Amino acid sequence: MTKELILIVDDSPTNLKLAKILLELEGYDVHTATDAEDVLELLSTIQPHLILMDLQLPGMDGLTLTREIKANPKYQNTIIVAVTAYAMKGDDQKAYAAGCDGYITKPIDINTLPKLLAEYLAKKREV
Amino acid sequence: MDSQFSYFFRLSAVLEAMPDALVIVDSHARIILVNKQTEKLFGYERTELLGEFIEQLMPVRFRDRHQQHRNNYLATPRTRPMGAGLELFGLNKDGTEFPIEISLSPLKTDEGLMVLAAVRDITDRKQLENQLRTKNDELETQNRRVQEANRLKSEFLANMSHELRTPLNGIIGFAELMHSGRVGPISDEHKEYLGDILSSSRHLLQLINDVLDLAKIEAGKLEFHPEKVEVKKLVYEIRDILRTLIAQKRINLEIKIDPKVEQIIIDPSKFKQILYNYVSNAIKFTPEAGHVYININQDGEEKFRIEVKDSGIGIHTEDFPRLFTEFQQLDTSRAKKFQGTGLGLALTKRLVEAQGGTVGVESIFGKGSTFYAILPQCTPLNESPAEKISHKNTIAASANVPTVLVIEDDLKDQAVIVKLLKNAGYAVEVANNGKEALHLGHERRFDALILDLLLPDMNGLDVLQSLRAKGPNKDTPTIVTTVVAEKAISVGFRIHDFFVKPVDPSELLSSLKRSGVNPDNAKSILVIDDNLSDLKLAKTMLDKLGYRVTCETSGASGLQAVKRQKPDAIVLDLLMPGMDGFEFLNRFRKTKISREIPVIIWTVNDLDDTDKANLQAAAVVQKGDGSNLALLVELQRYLPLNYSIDELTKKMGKISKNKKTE
Repeated sequence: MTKELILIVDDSPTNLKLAKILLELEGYDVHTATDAEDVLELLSTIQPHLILMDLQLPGMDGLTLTREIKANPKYQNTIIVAVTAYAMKGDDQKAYAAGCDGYITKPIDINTLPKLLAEYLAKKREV
Repeated sequence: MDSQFSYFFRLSAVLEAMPDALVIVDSHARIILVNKQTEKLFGYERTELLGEFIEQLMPVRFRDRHQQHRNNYLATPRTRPMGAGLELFGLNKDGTEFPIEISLSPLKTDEGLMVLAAVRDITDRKQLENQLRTKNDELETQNRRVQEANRLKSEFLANMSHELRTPLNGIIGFAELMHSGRVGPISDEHKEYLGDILSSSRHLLQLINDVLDLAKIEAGKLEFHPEKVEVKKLVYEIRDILRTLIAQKRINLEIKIDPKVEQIIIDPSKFKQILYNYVSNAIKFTPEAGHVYININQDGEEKFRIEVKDSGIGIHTEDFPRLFTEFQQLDTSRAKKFQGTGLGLALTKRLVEAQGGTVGVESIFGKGSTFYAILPQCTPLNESPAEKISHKNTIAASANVPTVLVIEDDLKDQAVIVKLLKNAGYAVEVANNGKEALHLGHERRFDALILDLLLPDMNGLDVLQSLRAKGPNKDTPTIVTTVVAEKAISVGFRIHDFFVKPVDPSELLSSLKRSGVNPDNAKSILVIDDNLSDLKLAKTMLDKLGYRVTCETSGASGLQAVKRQKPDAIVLDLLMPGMDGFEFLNRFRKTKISREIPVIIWTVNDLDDTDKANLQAAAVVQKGDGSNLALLVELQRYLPLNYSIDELTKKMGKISKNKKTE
């Protein structure tokens, strides 16, 4: 079975590295990007099953990027999970409104994150 | 004669020594006596004043009315201040005015009734008053600035906390990764030290979260999401989180929950936060093998009490007030060894108060403490269908217009609000009490709620809590009205706005608009036509489609209406007496708003293409094509209602047929 492909988008290199190691240990094929431009360029070559999207990005923000990706029929089945340091009101709704399939707040918990992503991916496989 | 002379001499010595200017005026308003102070105050020699009219000493603008005042006084002569409540001014010989205070006394003499006026210069006092007023204004401005600074501080803290969490994410994440052994084997010492890094950084995270919560409460941004909860489940979750600590200190934890409060409506995460803070505190200050009790009881009819009791070190009574204050830790030598943030209790207090509750503590030093929180209780409502409430109180409901549920028992207030809302273009439904409100509110979605807190059968906040807990009005914007200012109570309930009665109508409307409930959802159309039967036809058609229609019969009144109500579209006849459609357009185009409002010309004129182009109208529709469908089709293009042409024809069929038979 081929590895499932996850794209992590985060402008903090440390957080990016952490998530990459963590998810690679879980057996995923992990790609990373630090801004929207990176993401859009990468998407021309790869088709991730899931995108872990930091909402606070320099330049185009994560919500706008999510909307843009979801607007493309090619990525309609790509799961996008929003990650944000914000825990302010309405942020989750904003994320869902933009087309995110899930929403988690920082700091990410290394024990629950893999489980959570596995659940999303399993759900998708059922569909 | 001698004695009379000496009497007069002494009297005039007294008069001269008086600190006030004294003036005696005879019944003809002539000055017959003044003292030295009078000369000084008004700048005249005595001889210049004696025999002159008293009006000479007052600014010209007061002179005309003075005779009237004098007559009034002479009608009821008694000692009293002159011109009570008015600002009085004297006029100096050099033309300058100065503020004065005058006391009047009647003097009965052989030559008739005279008046003694004691005049005091109050320039200094006025100056002081002005200074005081300026100072007050300054203080007010300053106070506003302080409040603003405080808000900015809270905002800064909130942002800062977010920023701090990002690097912590890395620290905790990598430490966990290594600690778990997932990236390779580590020695026991490494594991221990990584564990230390982890617990320190988790502690730091807790601090940051507490600061963030406090900042959010201060900035009014903390939200509460009450829902039906199983109290037992939440309490056991807290016990599980603290299990390690409890085990380490071999603490005996007893939990008692009153069956009456097994199910309540509350924000579960806030409930847990409160309980966690109390219980973790209790564990911290209780010696090994001590006792901690969690009791949750009903407290009167409408409240419940969370109580955490410990057999710890206790607190001195004089320290109680500092307990719930931010960044204050009891600094006794015994308490010092207990590490803490000084935020937990303060946060608990804020969380409880924001939900309309109170916190407190009872303690005997050396024997233990009891911390408690009393919160308003809402038991879930019986979910069986409520008995049918007759719907005669349904005033209007239309699919295209936002509907507001007015929950108000006072019939007068109810009538005022209903009229206001209907005039503004809302549809309104009314609930006369809490029961009706719950029935309507659980049955269908409203666009906004206007809620009186004082209802005959239940507390308005309980109604709100129940509507918020589940059902179609979970997040309906709500405006609260009440006779008492009790803003603090409702902070926790996601209330959009708060009005103390009597409610200012325009404030209420703009508040509704701010909450996104705009009657303009029903698009407003201004129809300008001098032909009354055409006007009537247009109104009937457009009303039927759910537009809000205003009619004007001339260009001039139409122009005013545009400014007044900024319609979403204008239907304009060209041929009108007075200001015709062309002139109207000329003037209208000069206004700023004209670019946003499409104008549809509705005319009997047969315009050629050049004319049409010159009009620069959104559309030109020929009047009198029978069905007038073209007008509706054009309007729909700009103010969509999503009717197909067939549906339009069907809807309008009846009206146009009637028109034809007329």
